[in-house]
Amino acid sequence: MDNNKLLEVKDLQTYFYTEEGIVKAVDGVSFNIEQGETLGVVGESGCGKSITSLSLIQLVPKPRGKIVGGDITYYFKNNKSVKITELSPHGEKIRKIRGKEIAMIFQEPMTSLNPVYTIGEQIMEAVRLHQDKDKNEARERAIEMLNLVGIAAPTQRVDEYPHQLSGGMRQRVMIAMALSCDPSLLIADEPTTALDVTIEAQILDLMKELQEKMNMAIMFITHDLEVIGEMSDRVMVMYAGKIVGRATVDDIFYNNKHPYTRGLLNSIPQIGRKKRLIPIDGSVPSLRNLPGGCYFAPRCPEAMEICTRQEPPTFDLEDDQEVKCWLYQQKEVASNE
Amino acid sequence: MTDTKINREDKTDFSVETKPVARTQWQLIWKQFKRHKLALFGLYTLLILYVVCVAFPGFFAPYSQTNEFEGTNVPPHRIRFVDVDGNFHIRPFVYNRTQELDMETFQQVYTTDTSKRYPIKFFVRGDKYSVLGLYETDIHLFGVEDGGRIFLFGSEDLGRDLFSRVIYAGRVSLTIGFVGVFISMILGLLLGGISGLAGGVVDELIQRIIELLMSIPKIPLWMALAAAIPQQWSAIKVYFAITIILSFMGWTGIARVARSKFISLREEDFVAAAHSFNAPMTIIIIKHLIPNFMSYLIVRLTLAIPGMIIAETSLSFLGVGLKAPVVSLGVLLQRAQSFQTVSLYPWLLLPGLIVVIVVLSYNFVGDGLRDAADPYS
Amino acid sequence: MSDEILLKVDNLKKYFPIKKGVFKKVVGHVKAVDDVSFYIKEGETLGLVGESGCGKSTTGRCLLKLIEPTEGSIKFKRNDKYVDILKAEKDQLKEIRKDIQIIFQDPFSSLDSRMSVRDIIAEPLWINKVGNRDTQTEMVRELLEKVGLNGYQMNRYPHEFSGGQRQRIGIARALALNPKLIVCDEPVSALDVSVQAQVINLMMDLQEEYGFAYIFIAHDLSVVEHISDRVMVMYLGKIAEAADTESIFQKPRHPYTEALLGSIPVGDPRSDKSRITFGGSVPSPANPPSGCNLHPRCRYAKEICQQEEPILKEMLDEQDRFASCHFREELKLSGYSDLKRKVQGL
Repeated sequence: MDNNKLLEVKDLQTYFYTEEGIVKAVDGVSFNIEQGETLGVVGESGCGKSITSLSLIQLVPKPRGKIVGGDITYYFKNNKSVKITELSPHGEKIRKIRGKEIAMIFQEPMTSLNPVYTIGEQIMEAVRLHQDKDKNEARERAIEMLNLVGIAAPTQRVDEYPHQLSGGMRQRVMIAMALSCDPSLLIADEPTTALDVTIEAQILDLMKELQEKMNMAIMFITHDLEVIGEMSDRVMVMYAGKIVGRATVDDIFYNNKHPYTRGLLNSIPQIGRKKRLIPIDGSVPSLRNLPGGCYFAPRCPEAMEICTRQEPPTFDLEDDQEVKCWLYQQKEVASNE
Repeated sequence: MTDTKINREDKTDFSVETKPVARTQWQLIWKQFKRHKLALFGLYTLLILYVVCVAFPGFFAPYSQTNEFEGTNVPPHRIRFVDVDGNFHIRPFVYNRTQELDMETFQQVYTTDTSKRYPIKFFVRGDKYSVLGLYETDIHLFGVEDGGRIFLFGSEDLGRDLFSRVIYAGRVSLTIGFVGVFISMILGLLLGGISGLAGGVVDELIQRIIELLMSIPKIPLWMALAAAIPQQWSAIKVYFAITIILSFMGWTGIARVARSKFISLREEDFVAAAHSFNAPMTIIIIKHLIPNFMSYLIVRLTLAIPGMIIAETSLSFLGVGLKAPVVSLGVLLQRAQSFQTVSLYPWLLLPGLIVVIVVLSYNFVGDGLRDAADPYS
Repeated sequence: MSDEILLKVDNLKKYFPIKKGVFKKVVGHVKAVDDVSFYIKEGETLGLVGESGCGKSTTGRCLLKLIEPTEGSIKFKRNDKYVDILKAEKDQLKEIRKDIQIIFQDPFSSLDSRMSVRDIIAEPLWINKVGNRDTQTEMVRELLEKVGLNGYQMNRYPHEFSGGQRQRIGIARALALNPKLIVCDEPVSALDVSVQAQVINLMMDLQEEYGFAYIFIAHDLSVVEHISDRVMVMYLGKIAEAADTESIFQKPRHPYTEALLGSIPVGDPRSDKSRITFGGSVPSPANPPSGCNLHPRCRYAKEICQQEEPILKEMLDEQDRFASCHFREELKLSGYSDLKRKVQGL
């Protein structure tokens, strides 16, 4: 299975150095992304999901944020690999990966596009940065990409400015731009959160369709469990800078282990189920002020005495799940260490 | 699983409980402000300057601003600890300088008279001055006795101590801007507020007036006004008159800020909430809009005062602002107008240094306040 | 919940003028709310859904007269008589306003950060001269405890609270005057998922206790389904469909409702992932399409839809059920359960 590996993250730590002290936005996160799969990352505000994704392409906000530990290894198609954590954030090498191998789309399509250039110029710039193409070829590629993402009359639209497009259209342009260089991994950070539900459905369908066509992996980051369920093959649940659970999407919904995952699922209203919601107590902790032991313990309905004292390790369960919770201490099959 | 479940009552909502007890807005602003080291430095510098120049100039200046000594343009005195014989003295001292005219070059030549040490003493008696206009005294912070002289910044062409004159000049220059800024603020807040809250025709009208006023060039206007004001007025009265007239035109900047701020605050949900429970407009303005606008206003003012100080300095330097016998930093700098004086007596530029320090300090403080003004966001 | 109508809105319109040029000539209108009529019964929750720009927030704010409507009437029941809010005398309006309160989306901009929690919640009390300072403080304490906060937290400032807690403070303020109707403008959409459920439960509990009505404006259909008794679907300033929640979600009678339901992402990995989606995007309300405003996106559109605007009418076969579609009686539309049925044996 090792040949399928696209990205390997080991014990990633990204900290922010603020005046009030160190904020451990991402604290010891390890995971893999396989070729062509969709890894869903779900969590609430401040859980570190966005910072994790920014760390992957060395785009942690400067000067406060810094990757302080861990390895990120990217595997090229020819089985060569590169340690992204060892590259300079401004160097030539990371730029060849960023955009070409790993592309990214963000929540806010308005601010991600430059209002003074036409969308065609912006896609062409992305194309010419990574591919040896002249202006005409790049323009053709831009039109081809716009067509691919379902923008009608791409030959006209290519010369329009971002403000002439609706929010959904802009997100399509962002996707066209991100995919213009055939990346192997697309990081999508809340790509549909700002969109209306009918537009969200269009974009999600588009992403699924393009993933199949272009055979790329997607790291799909969102706070919305329903979207996660629709998009992902495997899901990673994050809480306060750490991964608390990882499982296949089916297990997340039908065989979930971590009390937090269960709490999240019970918190969302489901159509046709007129039951009282079971919320999680309290609120998301501030990263500046984390509780001792397991970070979730103060809100956890199943917390035990040990949970407030000691941070749980990650336990591997038999059904290929990982869970960071003391409840599974005895059910552990193989220790992580 | 041997662990017992912990009691639900034990769980505290840590996201709030561990935070410190409520602090007022000003405490928070101060806490935030203190982090900005440069701003703190600026604030202390300004405090010192205002205490020295504005509150107690007579005490800190060794001489009065009009005391003329023999000798002109004497270079600054060096404060020494070691005398010519190499002996170390704990108490610092100065040597007097004597002045002679070199008959060949026709330049003044200063020689240091090392025959007598004049130790610097604290709380010495000297020229009389009044403290805050309350009572008279002749005690100065420092000075030398027995016919010695101490000119820290040298002296100028009439033999007056430049250091003392800079302190007295600071009193005028550092305060004169306030009047103008204060009038501008009141007018700007009022007209900008009306413009932002009333909207419609009133808003349009005020906006057009602002644009008109902003298009009038200031220095020619100032020159014209200086010529138009009655000659018999004292120099400082003339200056005040011009400042006031100018601030009647200078409110436009603050008015624009006030307008846009009021418009955006008016759209805030908490204002809508106040409307929904019948709060009248006056209450909304007093309880919600003004307190939320205050911090911006303070920042704005902090940045407006150095503008006024610069204006005074440059206008006086050009000869259309304050004039001797009033002592202001600009007036002092007027002496350094010719290249010859600057090359021969470079210490005459020292008042300019004070202007730079003051303006920088104000800008640092303004920067710090801007960051701290909204401690909640 | 009684069957008494608390608020009746008729032909409500809000047009925002589009001004251009130096002289601010009016060149057109954005019809944010265009001829909307509906009613709310005492103690019920009316959900108001639609995509951005459909006029749901504007409608909500018109009810409180935070936005002055262009036309129409809003009749509110007061002392067994219906008073038109838009034509009411000043004193009467003051009294009615106490009965209609609002909860906002943004827990940050909805509270004045320069006031203590006590002052924020007590503000409606002292402005309307309810009690004296001491009784007000006591009421603030009670309200805070009602919304799940502690009385001793009243001297703190909003920034010391999390988003969910701030939303609770906003709710406490809305409760202070003991209103009969609370307009909730996306009250949970800015909150974290786990906190959202707390606030929804709180709102439902409070309604049970006090018996006021909610107008619950949201774009999240599952939240609306959970909390509402009846639901109104809006599109481009008009009502597309209004009915009780169950019917709307399981037996929609308007193609737009069907498309909305089809678009909802379904987490459950064992359910059918194919869906009826909706092409295109919401047109600008400044320049709505001719005829039925939905026709460029509607899969059932026929020629008549381009020419003639459908009227919101009660269904022939069902009472209290309204749809504005030329084919409302004929179309066989799929409900949520049909659209998202479980695929067995996965």
